[in-house]
Amino acid sequence: MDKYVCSICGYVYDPEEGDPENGIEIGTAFVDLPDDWVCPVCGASKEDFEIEE
Amino acid sequence: MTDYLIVGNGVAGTTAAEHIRKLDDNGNIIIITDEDFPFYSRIRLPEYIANEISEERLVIKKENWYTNLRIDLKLNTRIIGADAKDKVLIADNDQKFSYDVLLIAAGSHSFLPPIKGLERKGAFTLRNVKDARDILAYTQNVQEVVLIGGGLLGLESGNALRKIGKTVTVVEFFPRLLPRQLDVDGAKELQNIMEKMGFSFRLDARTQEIIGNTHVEGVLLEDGDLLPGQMVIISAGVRPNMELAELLGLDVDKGIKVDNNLKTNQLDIFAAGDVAEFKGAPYGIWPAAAEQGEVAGVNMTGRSTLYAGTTMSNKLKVVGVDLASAGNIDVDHQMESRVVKEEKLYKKIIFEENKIVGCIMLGDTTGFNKVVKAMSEQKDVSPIKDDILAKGFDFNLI
Repeated sequence: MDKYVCSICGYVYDPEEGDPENGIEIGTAFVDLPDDWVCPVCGASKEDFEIEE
Repeated sequence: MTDYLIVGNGVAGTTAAEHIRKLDDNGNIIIITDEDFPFYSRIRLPEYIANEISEERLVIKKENWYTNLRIDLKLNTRIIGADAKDKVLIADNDQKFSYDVLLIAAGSHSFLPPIKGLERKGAFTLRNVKDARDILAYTQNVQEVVLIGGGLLGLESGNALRKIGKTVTVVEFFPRLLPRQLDVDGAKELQNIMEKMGFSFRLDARTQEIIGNTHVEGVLLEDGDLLPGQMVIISAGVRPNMELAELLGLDVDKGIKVDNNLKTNQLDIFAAGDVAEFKGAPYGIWPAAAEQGEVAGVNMTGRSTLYAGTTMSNKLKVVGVDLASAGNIDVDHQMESRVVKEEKLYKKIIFEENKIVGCIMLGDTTGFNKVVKAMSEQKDVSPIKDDILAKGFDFNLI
C-alpha cells in the first residue's frame, strides 16, 4: 500500500502504522481514510497529500 | 542496557525515541520536558485558539503510545544543571538523570524584539500550548488585536483571532507580505484577499512602543500613528534554546553545532530539531526536525546513518489560501513572464531562454509539481509558453 506525504508539512501517512490517535486502524489505505480526516501534524485536508515517491 | 536521555518532547525528540525503540528493545528511554503536555502539534495552535479543535486534538502521541513503547515521559521538568563528565543532568525538582547517550532536542523560543512596553498585560507570543491557553483566556475583554510581525505564523494567529470576532491589524516592517514567497503583485493580491476577510495592514511600518498603564491599550508606530488594541501578539521569529548546551559546554554558534551524524562536539551527546545548527544554520521547520530526530535516534543506538539536509517545502497554506512558489520569483517584474490575475487568484511563470526558472501560484496550486520538475530538468517549453496559464491546461504537456 502506498504511503502519502502531506505537501504542506511533510508528515507521512503510512498504512502500516495507521493513525490510531485519531481512530484510524493499522492497515487502513490512504484512499480509505474518511473524507474529514486531516493531517495530524498541520491540519491539512486529504487533498493536500501526494503519493510518496 | 543503555540509558537514553532526551531533552525536549517536540517532533525531534519524539521521533528519535520512536526510532531508538525500533532498534533497541531493552534500553531505557526517558524524555524530559518542561511543558505539561505530551507530544503535540504546534502548527495547529491557531486552530485551537479559533476554537476549531479541542486541546486534546492537538496531541499527536497520547499516553498509551508512551506506555506501549516503554518511553518514560517526564512532564513539568526543567533541567537546571549538568555534569558532562559524570553524564548526569539535574532538574529543578532535584531529580537527577544519568545517561549513556544524550539527545538535546530542546526546541526554540519566541524572539522578543527590543520594544518598549512588552511587560504590559495583554502582550503575548505564541509558541507553545501554554501561550495558546493564556491568549484564549485573555480574549474575553479584547476587541482589537495588533499583530507585530506579518510572517506565516503571525498571519495564522491573526486569522484565528479574527475567526473569534476580533479586529486584527498586522504591523510588518517589510513593504509586502511573505517576501520570500511572493512578488509585489502576488503579495498585493494576498493582501486584497485578507482585507476582504477583515484584516487591516500597516506595511513598511515599525513599532515604537506598546502603550497602556498596567494593560495594553495600543501600539505606537514610529511614524506617530497610534493603533488601538487591547491585545498585542508579537511574532518576530524564534531562537534556539541554548541553556543546556551552555551548561554542558558544547560548541555553539546560531544553534548547537552538529555534524552529519547529528553529533555535537562532545562524545555521546547529539542535538536535533530547532536547537541544532547543521551546515551554518538551524532549519526551524517541522520536516527537518522530524528527519533529524530519526537520524539522531538511529545513531544513538550505535549505528551510523547520515543526515543530508532537508529540502524546504514550497507549498504553504496561509489563512486557508493555497500558495506555492519556487525558483526565481522575479520580484520587480524585470524578466519574461506570463501572469494571470483574477479574483482570489494570482499565477506567474517566469522564463529565461524558453526555460521555466520560477513560479508563483496563489489560490490554485494545480500543476505546481510538474512546473517544478520542468524547472529542474531545464526543459525547453517554448511551444506551450502562452498556454501554460490558460484555464484547464493539461500540465502533462510540459
